[in-house]
Amino acid sequence: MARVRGFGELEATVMDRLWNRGPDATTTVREIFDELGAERHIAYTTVMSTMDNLHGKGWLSREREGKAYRYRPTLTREEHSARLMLEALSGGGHSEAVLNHFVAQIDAEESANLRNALRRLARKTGLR
Amino acid sequence: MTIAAALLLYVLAVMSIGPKLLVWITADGEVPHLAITAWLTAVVTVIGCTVAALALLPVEVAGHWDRPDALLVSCFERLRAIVLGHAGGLAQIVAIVALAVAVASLVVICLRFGRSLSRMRSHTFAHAHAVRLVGRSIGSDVVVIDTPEPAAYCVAGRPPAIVITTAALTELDQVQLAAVIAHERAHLDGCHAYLVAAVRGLATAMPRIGLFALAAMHISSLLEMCADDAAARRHGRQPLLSGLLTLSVANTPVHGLAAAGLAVLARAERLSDPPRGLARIQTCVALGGTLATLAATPVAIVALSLSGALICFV
Repeated sequence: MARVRGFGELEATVMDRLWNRGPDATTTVREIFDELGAERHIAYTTVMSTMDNLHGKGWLSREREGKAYRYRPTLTREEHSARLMLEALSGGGHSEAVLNHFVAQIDAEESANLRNALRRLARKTGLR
Repeated sequence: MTIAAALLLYVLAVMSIGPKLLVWITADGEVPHLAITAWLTAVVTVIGCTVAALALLPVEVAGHWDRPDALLVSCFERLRAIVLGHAGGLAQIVAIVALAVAVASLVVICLRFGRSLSRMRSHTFAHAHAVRLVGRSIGSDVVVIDTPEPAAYCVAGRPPAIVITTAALTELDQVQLAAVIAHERAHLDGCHAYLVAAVRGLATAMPRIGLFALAAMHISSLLEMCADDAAARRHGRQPLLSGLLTLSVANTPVHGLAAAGLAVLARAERLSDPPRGLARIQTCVALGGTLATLAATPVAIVALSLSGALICFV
């Protein structure tokens, strides 16, 4: 479990670095390893397998240059955020992913009823 | 064939009057834990009794074929013998075909259920993973995602995450935010997503059975109320209700969707006017009675049928 969590965190760090380089920049494992190695103790092969995993999961695309691959994100961070929100908010909470929303989207009538409910509570508790 | 027939009769009864009764008793969300238990008991007994009846049928029928005066000969068997005039061969074929159909549909349903569960699992875990990569983490399990849509939700995964969008962060004040996060954490701590997935999977596997679809919908709403109660215990009802209002109003049709059965209004009403004293006791009694009836009837059927059969035999 801890190992999985650790890999997830490393994946997030790697994606963060790549996104910060701009949309069209390509990066080698070596460059990322040099950056990360300056801050923490990490093996080159760990960085390499992490980036290979991200490529396998479709987060990174890569092209060969000499002996090494140059990686770059397939989508920007903003595009990923938009995709996640589309999945989270589509289908009124009945997407394939099981998510527990705090509120569903509601119509104007329900919104008015909600205001009334809040007013009742405010009167009762003497707040607001 | 009394036990199997009586169990199937019970299943039919629960499927026809159960949903209306349970919706009526549990609609206002008083004592949500007990209400969820009542829904689950209905679902579990229906499935259990159907499977038990299907398993008992061949045993009972076979007992009849081999020894006409066997232990399990019942009124139904005698009736059938009269109607068919002891046309054993035909009855045998009909029984075998019916059994084959029953077993085949059971297999199909199990496959559909399994497929639905694994699809939900992979989508949910992928979402949790993506959220961790895209968002920035504040606190151990809270992730902020930079989007213009106000939203707050939790997603099970390894690790799970509570997702708050930047738009929701600007709408909520500190106290409301704490209450909303406590609500979502209650979902994660209670493993609510797994329960939702299980009942939703059943509803997907057997879409024509109204009981399961209604159970999935109402259990989701009732789980929201459980989480509300947990959050209200820590942060008070007021911040939770105002958080609910703030996000609901901010959420009014961006994508043109209607309310999705999360019963926002019912939640707001029970937060603003929680049931007390007599009303609560009444609901407890009604729910407890329903629960006891649902659970005790199949047991009583088996007990009575066995003793009845024994008496007939002696």
